[in-house]
Amino acid sequence: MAMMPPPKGDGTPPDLVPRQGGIPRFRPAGTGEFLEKIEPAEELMEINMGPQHPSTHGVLRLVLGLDGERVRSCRADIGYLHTGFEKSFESHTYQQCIPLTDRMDYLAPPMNNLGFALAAEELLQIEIPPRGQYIRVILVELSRIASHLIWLGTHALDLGATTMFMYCWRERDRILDILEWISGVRMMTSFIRVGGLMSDVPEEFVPMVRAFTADFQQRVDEYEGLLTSNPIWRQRTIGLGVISARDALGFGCSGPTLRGSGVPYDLRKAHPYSSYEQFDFEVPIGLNGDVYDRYLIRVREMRESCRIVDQGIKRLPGGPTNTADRKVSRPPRSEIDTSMESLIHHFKLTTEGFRPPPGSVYHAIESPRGELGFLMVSDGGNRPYRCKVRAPSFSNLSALHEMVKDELVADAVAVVGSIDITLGDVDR
Amino acid sequence: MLPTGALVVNVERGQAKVTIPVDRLVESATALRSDPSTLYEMAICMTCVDWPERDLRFELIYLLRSLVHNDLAWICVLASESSEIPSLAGIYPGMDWHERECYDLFGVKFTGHPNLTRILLPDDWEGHPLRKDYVSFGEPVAFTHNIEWALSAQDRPEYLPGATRGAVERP
Amino acid sequence: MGLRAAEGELVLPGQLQAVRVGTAGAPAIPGAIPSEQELAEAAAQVGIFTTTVGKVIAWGRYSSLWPALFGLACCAIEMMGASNARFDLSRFGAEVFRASPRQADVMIVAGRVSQKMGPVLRQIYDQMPDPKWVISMGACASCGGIFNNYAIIQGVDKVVPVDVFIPGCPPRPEGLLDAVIKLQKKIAATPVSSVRG
Repeated sequence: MAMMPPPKGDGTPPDLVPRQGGIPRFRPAGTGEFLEKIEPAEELMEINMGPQHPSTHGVLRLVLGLDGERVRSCRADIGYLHTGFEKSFESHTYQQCIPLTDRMDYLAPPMNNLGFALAAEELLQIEIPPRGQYIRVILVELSRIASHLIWLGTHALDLGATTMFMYCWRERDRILDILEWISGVRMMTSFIRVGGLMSDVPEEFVPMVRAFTADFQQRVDEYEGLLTSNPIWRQRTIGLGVISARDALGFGCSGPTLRGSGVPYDLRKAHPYSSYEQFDFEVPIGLNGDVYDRYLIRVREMRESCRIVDQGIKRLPGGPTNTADRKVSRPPRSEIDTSMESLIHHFKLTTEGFRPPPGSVYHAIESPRGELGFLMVSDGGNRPYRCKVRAPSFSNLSALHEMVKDELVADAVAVVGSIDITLGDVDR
Repeated sequence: MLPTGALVVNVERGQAKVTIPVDRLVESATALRSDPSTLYEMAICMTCVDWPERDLRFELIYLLRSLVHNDLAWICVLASESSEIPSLAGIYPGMDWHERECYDLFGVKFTGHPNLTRILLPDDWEGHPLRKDYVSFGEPVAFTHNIEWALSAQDRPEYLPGATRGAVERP
Repeated sequence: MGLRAAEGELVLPGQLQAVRVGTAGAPAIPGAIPSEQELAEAAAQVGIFTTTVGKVIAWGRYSSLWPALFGLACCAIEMMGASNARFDLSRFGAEVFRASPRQADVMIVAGRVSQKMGPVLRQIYDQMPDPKWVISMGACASCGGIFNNYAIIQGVDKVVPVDVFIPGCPPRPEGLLDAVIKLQKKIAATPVSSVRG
């Protein structure tokens, strides 16, 4: 610690003494000029953030290399939630894999179910009837809203806005009530299965969803009223964590992380699946690639998802929800009593499961985090030979060190939150 | 535009699948990224499929997406256990982590990679779990039909029933 | 205590009426020390609440359990739901989730524990000061859940001693509330002087 200079004797305050390789020297209350600029530190101080940390959104370990308060390097150490999903898929039949997929991206479980089901259906070359597709879209968009609500609540909580946490869970509990009503489970519904749905939705489904969407837009207005023009929020998020479009593409970022940088790419529009082409919705795009833009995109996406759910409920077609192919989808109970063939199909499906023809397929859907893809390889057996999950959070997180570079360490939390990672997705 | 030296080209469901030899990998990827007629700028993922009965047991699949032309390309490379695959981390920064994951779970080695270490498993883990010869179970669950699983290692019979419980065997 | 006003009667200070001490109907034995329950009944009649030091300490401990943040996976989301407006864990005194294990006394292991996370779990547990308890939330924390494979520790009780297991995948927030209540009953029954290992 350097010594303070002797007092000048005429009452003026002394010059501040610089520390080793740090703060610029300046004369207080006088000339106001900076004498010399700091030199970058030779050695970075490494601090460890996580894996048990309130703001890493799961078990993520970040080793930040600090130069004073600036983050110069960031190394992410993942794998603390590695569950071996891909190995487990190889030892379960296709339908048995569906409850496993629920637990990967646990903030939006129906999304994973849909991705897996669509990939398997592409292998099987079967079509789902319109009612099944519409209900899938409604469920998936409701889970997108639920996921964005969690993101908003936890992100705001990290930045100090604790009220948002309570408000967002209030809405999320209403969505979970709907999911519980149709499937019996709040979160891991496993409702969307290969060949259609678990069952048709009960008659209370439509009024419950209508009641939810009736006032959801006002709720989002409430949230925006709290945050969007809040000067503290804006000061803490604008211009922070910027990533360019080219970098984002190189890292494989997708979803709001990519759209925040101005790349207009959404899989629901580019490669529509499950009747998305029949819905009218907009995809918000950001301009600057910073945390504030990603926040605005996700809030706007909540509104658009509410619109999609509204349209789906209004135009919900009648008819069956599952494919008619009895080799994939179980026959109804009444048929089993009367038809020998149905009995055999039911038996085979329950004990062995269906066998897609050999081949490989990659199908991607737009999850709240980005492009969630399933690369499925079948060798003709009743279990996937290899099912690779392309997790959006994995690629988004690999771009973190670019976004956090030269930001203050106190802002690192905001940047990590803005990428919206789910460690179940990253580590699988 | 397809890379020269491609062995197999297959267009299925709007997705082009190309199998190329290992030595052409880097130049093909560079060309695919920058050539205006393809512009595969987005690195989706990179994975591996294990076919243990083949000589070149690992089939590495690189997925690239072109936003301008709105399509997806599969680049397949066949490799054996001892092959050294050039790393694409310099061309697509996102492949960095995917290659580390491939190394971690399959044991495929990449040359020129900035940091080829285990990413998902602890650093001192032995073995590569996603290979087909890696038996994965946490602990034996004893039912009446496979009570021998609950026995200790010395008492367990030689034929250990496979990694799953009573499922139908693969054809 | 008060003066003996008359034979068989015990006068408590500030009382308005004498209280007969002894079993109902039978005359009190002069010089007998009243039992705890008799004293409690007598005191309650004049508005004095009696208890033991042990019970008060246990009440203090279980009424303000501070959980250490150990949300790992899906169960963490339901844990957050339990501490939110609808299910309101703070009714039971447990809404203060401390990030630092040094300030916490219960660790709710919410989620699957992978092989890489096991040593971290043990380290966080060791950092918690006594008395400490562990709630294992969900099927994965209790027994490995649906993941019987190389990557998941088959039950956190292989790593830390567990007091309450919660089944479910994920358990409903009411399940977590039930576990907190059960833990409170367990703490109430635990003698104060025992120290957890």
